[in-house]
Amino acid sequence: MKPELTNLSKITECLAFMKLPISTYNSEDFSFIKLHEIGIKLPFQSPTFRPDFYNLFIIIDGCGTHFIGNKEFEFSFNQIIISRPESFSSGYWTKIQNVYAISFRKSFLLQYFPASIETVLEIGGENGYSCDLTEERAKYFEQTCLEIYDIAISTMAYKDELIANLILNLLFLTQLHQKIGSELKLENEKHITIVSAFRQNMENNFSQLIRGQDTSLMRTKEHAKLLNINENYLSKVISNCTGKTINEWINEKLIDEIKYLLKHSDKSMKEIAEMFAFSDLNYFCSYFKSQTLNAPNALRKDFNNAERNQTVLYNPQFTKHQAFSK
Amino acid sequence: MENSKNIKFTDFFDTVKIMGQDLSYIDLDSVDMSHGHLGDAEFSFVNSKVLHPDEQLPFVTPPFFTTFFSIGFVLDAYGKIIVDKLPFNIKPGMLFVNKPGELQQLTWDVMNESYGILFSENFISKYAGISIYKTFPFLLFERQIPLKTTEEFQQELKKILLLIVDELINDSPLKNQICANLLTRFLLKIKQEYWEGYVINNPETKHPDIVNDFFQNLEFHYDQLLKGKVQRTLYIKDYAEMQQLHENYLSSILKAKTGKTGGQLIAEKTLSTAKILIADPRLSLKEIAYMLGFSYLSYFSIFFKKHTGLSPINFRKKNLD
Repeated sequence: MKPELTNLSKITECLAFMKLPISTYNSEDFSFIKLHEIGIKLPFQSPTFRPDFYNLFIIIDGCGTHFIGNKEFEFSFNQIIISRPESFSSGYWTKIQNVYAISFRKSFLLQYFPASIETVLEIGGENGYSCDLTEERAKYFEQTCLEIYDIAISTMAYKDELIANLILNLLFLTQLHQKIGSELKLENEKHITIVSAFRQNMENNFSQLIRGQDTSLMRTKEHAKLLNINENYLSKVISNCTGKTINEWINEKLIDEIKYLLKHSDKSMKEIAEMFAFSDLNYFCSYFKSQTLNAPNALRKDFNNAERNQTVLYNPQFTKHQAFSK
Repeated sequence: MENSKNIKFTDFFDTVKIMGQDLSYIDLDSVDMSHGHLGDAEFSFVNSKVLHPDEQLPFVTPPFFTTFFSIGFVLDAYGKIIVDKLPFNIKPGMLFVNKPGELQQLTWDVMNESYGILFSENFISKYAGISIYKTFPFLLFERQIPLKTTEEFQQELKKILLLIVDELINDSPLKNQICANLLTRFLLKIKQEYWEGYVINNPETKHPDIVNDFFQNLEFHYDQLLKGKVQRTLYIKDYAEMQQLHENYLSSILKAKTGKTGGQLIAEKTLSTAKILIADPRLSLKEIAYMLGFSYLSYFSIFFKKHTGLSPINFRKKNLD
């Protein structure tokens, strides 16, 4: 079963599309949902969104898989999943017993804490991240979630500030869990700003391509021009700080997006190629091959076959078992 | 040279020493509560109960100037605090907020439960991205009156304090960020509890904001001046520019709202800063004059004498006696 493909990006639009209740405390900037209290019919396949916001799932007890770009995150209990904006994502749920979903825009946090949080929002250079929580930590996360909920439904003053503060707290704790050996070296403040601005521009470029608002893929030259800095300097900063060159970043992102569409949508190869401004299908195929050593068609076939054989994978017991053996 | 009354600017370590503990021989990296003190010069937590055991009470500090913000959270203790010559009795349930540059003297008579948080402006701006001048203007009020806390509010604050202690003890790589985050939450709760009306009470008129912003800019600039980050003093024109106003407009609003002209307000601030600096015997008068933007010592002397009736050198002598 393929998720429905959409380009929806705003929190309220996404909620409305899934026919989930939009309450007064859901805004374009922030939403908090107790997934287990809104009567979702299981198994639930969410449509594909391209959010402009961060998603934070705190799974105390639930089962399923979350797809962010080319990555799959299987989850069961005491787990946390974060996804960054501007990349395709969808979720498949087989059990929702006790799950909290927090969505927020970067600007929501930045408006109250204008500096110094870029590092935590980079999520170690990944598009998505997931980790297991200890019993104790999970309890703390759950409590914080409930606190956020209480604040969200209250009418107290400065509630957005407090919510942003609590979300940041969760992000910091999550970052602590992340492997120490993260490749990002974000010590210099000036560099953090450049790296994060570059990533933002790159992601915006991709989103605009997909929405048809832009016609060309930006490369080093355009990025440097947009940031008003020298090409060589930008290249140097990006590769020193992240361990990846600009082209590697762009190619990886491109392949990541293409793979998601190949796997989780029925879009034809031609449509996908057009989406990312490839002038012809042959070039698209050879580009894909050069980056992944696999033809796009083969990848789609493999995935479809694998999925058919592995429907058992979506069985809750099975997933749980896997989580244990990890 | 050590001044006889011990009034001086103290950095973090001096202050801790005055508070009854010499940290210079304690390994600051060791993380336990046995000294009643956790943290570093940028941010630290004090458990006064451990710091001042019963047998050492009553405990009196000499007067001292701090260079950082401090919050005293008294749950069950009695004593007295003198801030800029204004005495307050310390009773259970009180919350003290003090800003850098205030002359303080602290006396503890009974000590059962009381905590303190010390932090620098740099700490909260570096790790939480917050400008105190913008987000927590209440920390900068000229006169701080102790706040009374309700039972419920005490519990809320204590919960955050416990998280801070946990974090300081855990000593994780993100310790500073998380502490700054918790500190922000602590301050937000205070803002919510006591200063909610502060903004809401005067939404119709823009004037209080202009006056308030002017004072914040003024405070901020002199703070920078004291730290040596900026060299020159500003005129009313510069402050008007900061708020994108015309200088005449700003002056007229200041005059209408405070009864003083902008020039007078700036002069007053210069004077109070000068007094603090003169009290520090390490600085020569010439240095002080330059610091405050006077190009000649004689200008400074005339200015100072005009407003206080004493020449700077006499003021210093009188202060030292």
